[in-house]
Amino acid sequence: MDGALLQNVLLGLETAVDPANLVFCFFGVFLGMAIGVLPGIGPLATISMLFPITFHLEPTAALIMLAGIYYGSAYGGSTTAILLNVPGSPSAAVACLDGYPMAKEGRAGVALLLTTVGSFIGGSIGILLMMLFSPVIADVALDFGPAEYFSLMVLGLVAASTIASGSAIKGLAMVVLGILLGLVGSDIYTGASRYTFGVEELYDGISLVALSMGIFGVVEVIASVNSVKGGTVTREGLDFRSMIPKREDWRRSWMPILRGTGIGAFLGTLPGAGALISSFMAYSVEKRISKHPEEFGKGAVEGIVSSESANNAADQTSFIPAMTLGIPGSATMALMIGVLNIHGITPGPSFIAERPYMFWGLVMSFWIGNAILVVLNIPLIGVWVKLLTVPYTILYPAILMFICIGVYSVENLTFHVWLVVLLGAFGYGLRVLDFSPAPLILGFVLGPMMEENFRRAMLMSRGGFATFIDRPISAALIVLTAIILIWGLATAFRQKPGVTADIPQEE
Amino acid sequence: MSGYDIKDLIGGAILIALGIFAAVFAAMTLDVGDPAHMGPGLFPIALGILLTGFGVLILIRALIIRGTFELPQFELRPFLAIVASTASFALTIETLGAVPAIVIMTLVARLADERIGFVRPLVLGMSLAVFATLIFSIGLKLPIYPFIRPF
Repeated sequence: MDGALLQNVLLGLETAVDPANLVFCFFGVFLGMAIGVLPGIGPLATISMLFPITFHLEPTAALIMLAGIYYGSAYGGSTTAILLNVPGSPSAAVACLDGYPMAKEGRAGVALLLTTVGSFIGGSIGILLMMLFSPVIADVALDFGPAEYFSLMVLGLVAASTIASGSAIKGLAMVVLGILLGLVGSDIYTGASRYTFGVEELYDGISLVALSMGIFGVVEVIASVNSVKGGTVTREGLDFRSMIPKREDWRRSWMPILRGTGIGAFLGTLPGAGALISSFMAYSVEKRISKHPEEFGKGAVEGIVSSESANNAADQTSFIPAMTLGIPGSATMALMIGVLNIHGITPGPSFIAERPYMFWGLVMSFWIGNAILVVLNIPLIGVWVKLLTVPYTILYPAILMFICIGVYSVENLTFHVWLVVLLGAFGYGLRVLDFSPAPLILGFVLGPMMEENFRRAMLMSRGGFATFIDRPISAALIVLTAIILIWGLATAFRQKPGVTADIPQEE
Repeated sequence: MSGYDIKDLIGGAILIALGIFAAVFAAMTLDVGDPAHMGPGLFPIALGILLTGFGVLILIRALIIRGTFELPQFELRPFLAIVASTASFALTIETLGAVPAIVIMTLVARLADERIGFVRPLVLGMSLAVFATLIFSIGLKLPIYPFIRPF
């Protein structure tokens, strides 16, 4: 086992230090940090925008770059939170609570340095867990039949939509709508065209690129035009000398970093929980066990380091279910799987065995990317501060341009641009009515796989629905799903009026 | 102060409409098959019914629970400007070429902003067009043409 792991690590390193992959890793991480810093462009919108470029890339490089954007944005988001009191990305919302008060005390440098250290430790432990557990989970999952897969997907979708979004019913409705959108096009078994309304371009289905750019990219621009304002940043406490934390700060930080990492690593593997929830959870745990909870919200170092190490750990461990089972726990992971699908690769239990260079290359690129982040974050703070002064009136037309050219360039079809127009308008309507788009993307990506597995399971059982309950693993998954479902629906009806979950949307 | 959650009333109604449409349309155009040999219509019909069900639940909940709710905030101006901007790109990319398309879309997009101006958006649009031509047409060699003669 240990020898095999070493061999895999070497194989992965070989892929990861390939010059082209290194360049894409650097590019992804740098870009991820930049968009993490900028409020008004989230990681999902950016990944959707860069999606078309990945068509022209080798799949390993594409995956490495997109992953870099994903975890890079978690680093960058905290910078804006600390300096401006505005979360650059949703999962950095908690970093505002204590980060900004620290900045006002002139301790912004200390806060930035400690979150970088916390993020690095959280990320590293997350990667280690991924290395140790992915092969084990993949081994177990090799015995899964279509019935188990179907049940697992149902569980993933139900858990993700009930936990992550404000309202369980609305999240579930979005999943169903997403699956329906995913079914548009020719049926793979019979060739019958479904919901195409005679439009030839729809026979291949709705393009994932157009869908994600419409409901994330365009919608985000519409919603941000009048709400994102450039801010002024004080540069006080940002020189290198003031960055060195006192011994007291280190002493207070190391346990919260480890606890935050543990919480994030665990929640990251669960569908729907992810970086956002884990940063909230880590923060509240620290506050609860702290000897001086009154300092929280006024610049307690424990608050920022625990939440930041938690969300970075969660970002890494969320790759475990996506890569070993092929089941994404968040919309971002769904997009990653979508990228691979476009290259004809289906992540799942046999993925690690069949393409070890790709899986281990990705894992090793995580290390390199995390190291790049540490090296880049602190010296580049001046650049980030500059970037924050670029007005949104310049940014949003540029974002729109990238969206349009990007979606057009995939197949040189204006039809895809029209789809973005339509889905963007539709998506904005959904946003206004408080429906979150993330479950929709999850349903869209998983829908066709669910139907296929359902059909195969029914074919094997000769039409007996009992197959999902007769097989023990499948039955356990169904029971778990039912529990989450009942809990979700019950809380929906018991929720006090006027109190809607005040958590920003998970990306 | 007690009122209905307008967002959920509208949202529920829309879901019911979409769900019924999905199920009825699938039932009319697609073969259902039997459980062992599912046709292409079975899954969509089931999903349509499910979606209708969720719509009904949301609607019922919105009718039962009363309180003070935020009204839906539909920002019409940015909505129209951004949608029109994207649509203008779709209309012009294959008739005029990328450079005019980007300039036009930038001008239209900037209508979303409350401060009206023409010179700055024009400068921005032209810079973006040059930038895009350099990256996409020349750098990545994608078949995106800077100018197309309309006739």
